[in-house]
Amino acid sequence: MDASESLAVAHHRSSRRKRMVSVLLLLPLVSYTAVFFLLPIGMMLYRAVSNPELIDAFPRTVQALNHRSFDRDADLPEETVFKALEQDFIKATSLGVIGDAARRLNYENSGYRSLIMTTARYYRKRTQTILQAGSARERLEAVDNRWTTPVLWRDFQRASPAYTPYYLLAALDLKQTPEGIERVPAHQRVNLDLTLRTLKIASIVSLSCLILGFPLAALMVKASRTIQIVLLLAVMLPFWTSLLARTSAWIVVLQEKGLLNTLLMRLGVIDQPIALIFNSIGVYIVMVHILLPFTVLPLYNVMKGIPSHYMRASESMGGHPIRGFFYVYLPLTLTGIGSGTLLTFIVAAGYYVTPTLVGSAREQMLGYYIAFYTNTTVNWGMASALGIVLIAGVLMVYLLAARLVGIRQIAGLR
Amino acid sequence: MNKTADTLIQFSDVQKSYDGKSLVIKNLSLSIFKGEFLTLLGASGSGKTTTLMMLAGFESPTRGEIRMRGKPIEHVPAHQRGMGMVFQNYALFPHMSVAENLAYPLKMRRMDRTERDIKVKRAIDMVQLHGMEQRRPTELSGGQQQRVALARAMVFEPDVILMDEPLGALDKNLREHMQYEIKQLHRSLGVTVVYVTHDQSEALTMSDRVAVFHKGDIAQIGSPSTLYERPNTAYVANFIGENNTLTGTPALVENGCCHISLAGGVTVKGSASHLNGYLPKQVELIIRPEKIRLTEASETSYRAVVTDKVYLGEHIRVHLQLANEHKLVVRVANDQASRNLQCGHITGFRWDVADAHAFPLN
Repeated sequence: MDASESLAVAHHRSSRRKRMVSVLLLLPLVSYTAVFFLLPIGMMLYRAVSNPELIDAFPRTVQALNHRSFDRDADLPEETVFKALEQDFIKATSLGVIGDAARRLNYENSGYRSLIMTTARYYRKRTQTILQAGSARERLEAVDNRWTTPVLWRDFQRASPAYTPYYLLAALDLKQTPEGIERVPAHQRVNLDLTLRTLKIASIVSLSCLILGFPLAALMVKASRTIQIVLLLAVMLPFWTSLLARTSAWIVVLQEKGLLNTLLMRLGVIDQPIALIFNSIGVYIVMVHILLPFTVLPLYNVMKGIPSHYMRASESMGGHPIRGFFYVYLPLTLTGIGSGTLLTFIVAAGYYVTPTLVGSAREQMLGYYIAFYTNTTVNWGMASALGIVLIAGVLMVYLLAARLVGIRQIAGLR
Repeated sequence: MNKTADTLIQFSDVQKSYDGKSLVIKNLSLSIFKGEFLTLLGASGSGKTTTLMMLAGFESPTRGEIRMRGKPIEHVPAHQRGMGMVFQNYALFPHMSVAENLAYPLKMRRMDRTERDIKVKRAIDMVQLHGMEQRRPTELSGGQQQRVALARAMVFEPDVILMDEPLGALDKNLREHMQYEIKQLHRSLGVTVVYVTHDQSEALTMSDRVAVFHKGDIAQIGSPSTLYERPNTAYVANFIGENNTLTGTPALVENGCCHISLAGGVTVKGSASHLNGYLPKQVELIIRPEKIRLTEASETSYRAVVTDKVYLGEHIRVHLQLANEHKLVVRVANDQASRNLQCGHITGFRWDVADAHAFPLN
């Protein structure tokens, strides 16, 4: 053992206690994050690809089909498959499981729900004994003749694996066909627009916040202590009022017979009320107001750390204040611009309540549809897939910002 | 230096108030000569920095006028005044390399790239920072940052360079070295330097002239030796260098010599030149430690008890106690006689009347 190695070993030993303390200090946060953040996100990722409905409802059928393909028109499964299907229908523990499977199969082609539910009702009244006699295929054909079409079995097969790219593809307006991955028909293409709209609204809101927030933060740094406190309180105010109260207040101000329209009409500026709410203008006005602190505070923080003598130095070297601003001040605030705008963008991209309340159907963002799929149609797969699209979109912007501004800068380190 | 002919900058009856109530600069008239090294020296709040900021164009005078080459400049914005400036904390731009920092004033002057590169290279040579061109200011030591700041203020060849306590952040050795370098640069470039500091030894070392600021006025302006040897107020005498102060009652003045009786019955003598011919109730007698000489205790000399001896290498500081609580510090050479001094012994001492200045005490 050479001297340096023994030193390293000794150092390792002597700092063990210190490391133990660090680990102990971190433990509560790490476990909290693991349980309430990483785990749910992991589950969401899983939900986006997991496809348990058909396996749960028709375990025997799925087993019997076992990777058979139904490419040619004449292809139909053997009798054993039909028998397994009958068994699955009869032994189904509850209609709920069948219902989930019916809904899942319906994503492949609408109309399958009624097929499954009719068949399920038929077999609910029957017992095991009928399986002994006759052809299962003929019985099923009698219930609904779609059971003997290859296209159904092809769809059934595609919907049956434990994992599916279906939701993720659907979130991007794509679908899997026997010919490969294709775009869905034009009238069904909504999700891509939704994503683009979400990113567009978030971008416009964060840019507006930057345009309004930059001069404000600069003023706050330069102003006297009193004005500084007043401005800071004014900026922070949205943080201290409930989101719903704030949004409702904006409705009072902006609606057709609201304060602003009444005032403008009294003053004779306009004859007709202008539509300021329940459209995109309303969404932008309210979101900018609510998200302004997310831009201003990081900016203010960075600007406060820029000594005033930098600008004086620039002037003393012959730089007009405007050139000094662009060459010296602005580059030094990039950290704040980066972190403030990014923060605003991320929060805005996930917005849900405000667009719901003050926007029209055309301003609804990803958050709204995630809630819609979760609460209304109970389509967890679709909700998760949209959630992944949202995370991926934000991550892309984050990486772009990290590329442009630098990751240390975004974290607020210099 | 032909002082009268070469006035570059002229402050005339300048007043400055920040709040409209009190004056930071009371009534400043000051001529700055071409090519000189002028130091504005004063305690904090004395108005020296405000004066510099008015000259740089970052503050404007409340009243009065500042002229440069005979033309008023109050309304010329800072970026058109063409003065180089070295800031207290250097104000090097942290997002630019050393070379970019040096090129900044040239870029602001829209100089083309090739000429810019030549000048930057020359500036790098001047402050001996080869190999540092691509570094960021934060990667440099304090002394190197200081050099970059100097080079940046000089690279566009201004006539005047303003320096606001530029060496304040450096440690003692480096500060002394940089004082020397700044002085060298001043000599070789012939540029006018206006230098603000609160450090009187720095002022004495570097300046052609020093203006001592006190409460918004110039207490005295003159060469370092004038200020040191012939201070015209007790404030200047005390501010510049170390001093002993004896307070007493003036008994009589004869032939420019003031006899002062101290409490305890001792009478000492000093120069009466600052009493302007009248006899105040009380005077301060101010005398520098190195102007006092220790002698054998005799009838003709003053006498005191040695209370302490501090060994400082090249010299020794001796603390003396006169009758009735009056104390003096004497600085003597490190020789056999002073080494033999013993605490508690009585020693004699004397000074030349011209070296002890009596100031009226109000």
